Amino acid sequence: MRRLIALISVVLLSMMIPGGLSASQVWPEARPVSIVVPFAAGGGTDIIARQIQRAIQRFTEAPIVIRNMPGAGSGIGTNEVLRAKPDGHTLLLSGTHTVTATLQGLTAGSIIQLDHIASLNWDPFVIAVLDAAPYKTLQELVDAGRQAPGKITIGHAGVGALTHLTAEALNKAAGGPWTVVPFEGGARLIAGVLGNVVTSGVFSQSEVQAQAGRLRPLAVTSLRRTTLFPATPTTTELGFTNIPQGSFRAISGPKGIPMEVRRAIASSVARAMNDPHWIQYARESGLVKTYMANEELERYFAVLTLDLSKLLRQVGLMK
Amino acid sequence: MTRSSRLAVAAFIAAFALLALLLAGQIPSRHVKGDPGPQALPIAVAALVLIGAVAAMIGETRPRSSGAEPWQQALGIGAGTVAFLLLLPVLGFVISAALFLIGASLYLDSRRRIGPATRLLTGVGFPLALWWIFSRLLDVSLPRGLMGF
Amino acid sequence: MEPLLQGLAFVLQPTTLLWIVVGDIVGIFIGALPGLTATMGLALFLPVTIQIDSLTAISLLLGLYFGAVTGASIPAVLFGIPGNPNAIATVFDGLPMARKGQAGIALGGAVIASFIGGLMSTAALLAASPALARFSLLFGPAEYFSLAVASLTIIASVSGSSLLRGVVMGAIGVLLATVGIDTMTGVRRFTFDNPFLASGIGLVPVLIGMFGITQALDDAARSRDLHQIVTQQLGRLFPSLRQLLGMWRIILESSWIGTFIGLLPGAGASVAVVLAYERAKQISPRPEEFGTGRLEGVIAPEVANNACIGGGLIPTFTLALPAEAAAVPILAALVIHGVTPGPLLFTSQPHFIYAIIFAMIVANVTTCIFQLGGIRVFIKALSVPPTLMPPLVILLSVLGAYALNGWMYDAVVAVAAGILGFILKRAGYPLIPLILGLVLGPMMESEFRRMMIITGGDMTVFVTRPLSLLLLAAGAGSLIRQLVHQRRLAQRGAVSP
Repeated sequence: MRRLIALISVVLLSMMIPGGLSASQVWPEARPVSIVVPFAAGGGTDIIARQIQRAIQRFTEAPIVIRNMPGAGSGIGTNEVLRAKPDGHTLLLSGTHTVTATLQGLTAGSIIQLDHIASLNWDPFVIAVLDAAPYKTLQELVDAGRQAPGKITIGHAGVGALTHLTAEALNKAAGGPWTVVPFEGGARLIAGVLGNVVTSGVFSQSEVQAQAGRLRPLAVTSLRRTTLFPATPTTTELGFTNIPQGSFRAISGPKGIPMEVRRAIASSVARAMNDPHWIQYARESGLVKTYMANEELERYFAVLTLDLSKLLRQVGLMK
Repeated sequence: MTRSSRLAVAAFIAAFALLALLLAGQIPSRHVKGDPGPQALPIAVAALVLIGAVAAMIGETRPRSSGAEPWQQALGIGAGTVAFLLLLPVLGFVISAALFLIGASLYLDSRRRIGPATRLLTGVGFPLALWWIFSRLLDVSLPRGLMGF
Repeated sequence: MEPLLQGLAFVLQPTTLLWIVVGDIVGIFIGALPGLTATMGLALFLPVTIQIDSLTAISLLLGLYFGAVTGASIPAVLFGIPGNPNAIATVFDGLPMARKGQAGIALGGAVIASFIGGLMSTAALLAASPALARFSLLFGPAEYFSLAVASLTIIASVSGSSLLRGVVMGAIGVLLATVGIDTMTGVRRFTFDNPFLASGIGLVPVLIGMFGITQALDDAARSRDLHQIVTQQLGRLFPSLRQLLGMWRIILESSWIGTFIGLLPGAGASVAVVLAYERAKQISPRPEEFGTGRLEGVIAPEVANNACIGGGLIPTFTLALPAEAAAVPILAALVIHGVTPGPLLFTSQPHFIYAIIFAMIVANVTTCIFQLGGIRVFIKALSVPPTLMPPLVILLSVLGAYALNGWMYDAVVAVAAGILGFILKRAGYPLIPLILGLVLGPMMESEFRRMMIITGGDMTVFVTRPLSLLLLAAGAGSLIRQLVHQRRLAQRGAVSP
């Protein structure tokens, strides 16, 4: 009898152990978690995704896998996540690109059909000209455009992307002195400004930092001055209003993830953002840390959607 | 190919170009100063294809000697490939690839030169090996199908 | 002299050599698997490199890069399925060579060519980086456009006997390339509200279809005649020195085409290999035999794609400007390790640059050794029974197209291109011009329109910018020369039947 009791208790215990574990750890289960990156491997957003993936992996047993699904201005990867099971094992590297893609109808669902879990960073844009150019301030660039209409150009890194909306918003706020010129990607745009094909461009901070001495930053699109460019004024300071603040990046998932799973993911992201490697990486790339989770982040995405939809309508990219 | 089938191909290209031309005409124009717009090139190129295809059709009306080439089995394999594509999302990579390999090789090997054991081994082993290399080794996900692999 | 020795000493350390070799082998493997690109491999390995020091990390990535670009020629020659965009033009003559029993020399020639191209661009990187980088910046939209127009003109003029069909196919390629979101205005063209069509029709899926699947269908149709496997001549895996010397001009021009196109951001290896192939065709005394299995047709693109690596690294190191997609992870590796790329890198840290140069040389040599060593093994793949070969090739094609982005859509494009390619080929339409149109069409259109937006519609800019004028003149010159040449051939043909 005692043996039987021992046996039963062993069996019961062995049944309870996994149950006990899952009660203390709701996410992840013992199977891979994939983070869908809606851009090609090797690009800027992909590199950020891989850094955060490594930071989470350091304290997580289940494998965290990056899946690149590029296409349709991030629409295709977003669709993949919209279709996935809401169990926290398929996540999306979301952000302003998700907002612009959904608003332009490049996805099968809208931004509210995603659960927004935790935000990672802001990546402000910098408006820069060639270092040899005569324009020392953004105002001088505006004045030059007013004096010689059609002569001053501002390039961006792709139609429908946020750099495009930023260029158009700036141009509108300044009364339309410039010609906005599209390029296919950041590298083409840098070459365009360095080669004097266009006068100025909308860049990421790390792009301009890498071009120190060749490009001159005129303004940063963040609310406050950034650590990478402390001497460069913000567009807000210069009196430009309704300018997007740069790329925003977050982790989202398909609608319907249980709240305790969402909290668990959000706290994992928060923990990863304190990883020294991540902190060093974020500092060197000029990423502005922004942590918001769940309800707060949902509200934030609603605001972003409203702001960007106005801009997209203005540019004619939204019906 | 026979003359009539060559004529049919040229006519097919012409029809395709005509359709493209009609659709290109419906591309919305968005005016940016100086830019000829998004419809300009598609219209020009579709028209070029149309003219070229019509010229090719006229060329085909002249008789030309042509050797008959076998094509029937390509039809079978082409149909098999389409079936394979349709099955991929349902059965997943491993099963549909095995079915396709075994089926297609049976179809082509009417005289059964390959033994059933070899056929089964390559038909199942090859997809499994590829699946292992891509999904396990390199984290490139393959179509998973309803059963999960 | 001292930094030179420091650099050499660094690369000759056993651990560095080991990492380069690891990178090479993984690279060749990734390159040889259809649908996996060098960029993908580099992105996979980038996080790994954080733990090792910056030079070792760069050496590993360079080994992987050279390996992946060179390895892509293996499936291109054997099955007509390029591993990645670097090998698209290798298919044109590589596959016909394998069909003639010359897979060995095609693969061996590809390796030797890659080796030469790699070394040539490394030399350019060493000797003239700052100057070349400055020169690349002279290339604006007008120059890109003129380059595309000149190339298309050359292609049309070399199309030979089936000029009409060549033009039709080239135009279809340009037309297919317009599918998707217009990069100038964001207007969607021929997309029918489908997000995949909005991303356009991929070059690699179309190529995999039109070469891999088309050839498999053709084989399937003939399988009753193909009782015998094509016997592969394995006596020689190398082109002889005399053959190589005979191709000196093609090798030299392909090297500089590769290096130069590599310098230009956004143009990419696919443009470089296509231009090198067409230039080789133009130089060759027998242009009409291109596409039927000429060794030059394999050598030219393979020299160019490896030359593209060195070319692409020049603006990466001197201007922090990743001209090739694959250079983005390499730039990231530099930045992660606190190395600031720029012209100063060459003067302030010369040992660093020398170490990189030596790492490139070692990577070239080891890639060459490993891939040559493997040729006899790779060729075994062709001894598959003829009735099993077509289904296997189709399977690999579908897999390769799918693996590119993880889309069923690309697999569908490949199969559709394969079936249409089979029909078109049987009706006498050349397939290569369609691929060329697909590569060069987007460049021609978007650069023209970008220039028009900048100038407000002033078209004179194409002839007032000297480089642009030069390119257009070169295109026109080659067109005239070819027309005269063909006329002469036609007259001779009319006299002696």
